Amino acid sequence: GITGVMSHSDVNSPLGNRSTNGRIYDTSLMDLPDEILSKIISHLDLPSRLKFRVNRRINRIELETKNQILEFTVAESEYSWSVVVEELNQLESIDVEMKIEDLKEGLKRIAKNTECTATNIYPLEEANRETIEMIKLVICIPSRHIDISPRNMKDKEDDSESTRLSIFDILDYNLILSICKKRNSIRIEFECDSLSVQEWIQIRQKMLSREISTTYLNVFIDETIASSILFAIHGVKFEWTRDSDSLIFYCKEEGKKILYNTPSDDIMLFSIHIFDGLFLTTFYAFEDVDDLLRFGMKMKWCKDEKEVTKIRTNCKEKAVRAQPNFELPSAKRMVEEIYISEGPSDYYHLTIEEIGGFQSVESTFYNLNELKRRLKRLAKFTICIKISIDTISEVDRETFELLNLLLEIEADEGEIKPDDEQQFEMVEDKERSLPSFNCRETSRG
Amino acid sequence: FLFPIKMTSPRMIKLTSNDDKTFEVERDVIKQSVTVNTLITDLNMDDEDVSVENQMAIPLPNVDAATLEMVITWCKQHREDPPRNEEEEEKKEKRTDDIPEWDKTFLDVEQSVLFALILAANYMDIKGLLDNCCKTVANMIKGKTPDEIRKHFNIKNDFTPEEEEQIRKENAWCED
Repeated sequence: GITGVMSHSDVNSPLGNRSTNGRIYDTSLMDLPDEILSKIISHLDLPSRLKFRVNRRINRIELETKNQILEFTVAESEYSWSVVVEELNQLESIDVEMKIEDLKEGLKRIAKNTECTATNIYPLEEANRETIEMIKLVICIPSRHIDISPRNMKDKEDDSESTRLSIFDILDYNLILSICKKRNSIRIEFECDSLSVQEWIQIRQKMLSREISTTYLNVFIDETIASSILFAIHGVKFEWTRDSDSLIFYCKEEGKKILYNTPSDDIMLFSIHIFDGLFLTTFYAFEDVDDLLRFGMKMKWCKDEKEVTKIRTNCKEKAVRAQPNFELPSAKRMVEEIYISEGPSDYYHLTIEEIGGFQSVESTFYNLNELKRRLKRLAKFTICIKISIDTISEVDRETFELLNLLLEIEADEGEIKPDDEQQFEMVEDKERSLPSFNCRETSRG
Repeated sequence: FLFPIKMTSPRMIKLTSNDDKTFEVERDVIKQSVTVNTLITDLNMDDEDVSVENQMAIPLPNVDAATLEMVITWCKQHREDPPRNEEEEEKKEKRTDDIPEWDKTFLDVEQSVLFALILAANYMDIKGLLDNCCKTVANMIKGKTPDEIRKHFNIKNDFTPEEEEQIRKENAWCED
């Protein structure tokens, strides 16, 4: 029968008789079933969930609970590595700096149950054994996108030659293929010279046949390799002369139909696009921040016919806009404002506002070298009314390098938005050495 | 003209705890429990013709009276909550700073009470309550060292020295 019917009109206070109510509770955390402990773990940030492994059972459940991370970045510095982890719905990112010995086991464990949206590896260009070990550890962490780019450490004192190895040595066919197998999008800003033409064609074939999940691959390759790949695939040869900035193709009539080339602009020296249905292969060249000529190859599955048309139209428009004397000052493109702002965790926004302020293009740069390259090209091809920079971190060498590159752009007016007094003083020093830059203090908006 | 207004009292459902206490709760309040809701539908208990006195009580063999009382209090407080969007909830999985103030106070109880409530919410399938309870436990874990966590929750360390050394190495990068 029904016993002890209770009305609930009196149980609406949050502090009602709930803690004991005549009953002794004896449930402990370890009485909770695995799925609940897993749910609790899924609410923890990465360091907390690793520290929560206080006994064997929790250790096992943590391993079985998938962890989602937005971005995992490792960057090499002179004596250590910095690790930045950005997690979903976490306001603050984790930012630590330590030696590889203290990171190794942690990275191996993270790789077992973590999936990142993006992993970034920024080693020094001249790698040592540690660098190679770190790259191999981080590529084991599953991610949809991976970016492997050199970190600019120009002030770094050179170690003895014998201890430095070329990073190219490890970026061989097998390693690139293993990176491709697990990822949608890959960008490697190192020249992958150890791969033969045939190996690149094999990777392309695997992408085309969807044997690997990669839908975007962007790598630096040697010009002759780029040319040979194009010839092997489409029977098209190209010759590019740096002095005259001219691009000549040798191909049959049918080859012309698939080719779309873009002349010099503020980013690229040239780009050649070849369409194979929705599959796009692009060969490009640009000058890097040290004026070194770089060649690259980009292979990409376009989403749909619309995207293909957009790229083709863009190529045609650029070709029309380009002038034979593009390099002359009179042919420089005029823009309203070029504005750089520093993000909270080592990234930069570059905004280019067109005349009249009707249109602006904002790009985000996680790689400082890439931004520097862009600024160099902008200085060559652009005149603007105003340039401005807004930094949030302490003014360091990198900020000054950026400022110097920004100052190379022809502009009527300049503005620096300093974050604190000390920073402003440093900026003022800079102003004195560069009197043409009209620097004024502006409060941050 | 005065028209007599027909007063319709809210439909009530009876729930019985494992220690044999029966609670009457509004149908609209307890619908937040997927388990109870399914039972009501499956047993045709939404029939308007059956009075609450003649209605069968739904047994909840995994929930004691004190915990059930808390569950009902929580459900009453949240009866007006909009339906949960599971996709949205999944996106903010790692957030633990979004527990409503009322819930924070309500869940500020002894650990054992909180864990009993978690088990009840899980059994009765009340996602909102379960989520907020789990977030509360997550908040207790955050910022603590492994030793502090063991002490706080009275958990025995059953690792071998080798296993413990391995865990220490894996955690080295995130030590304070």
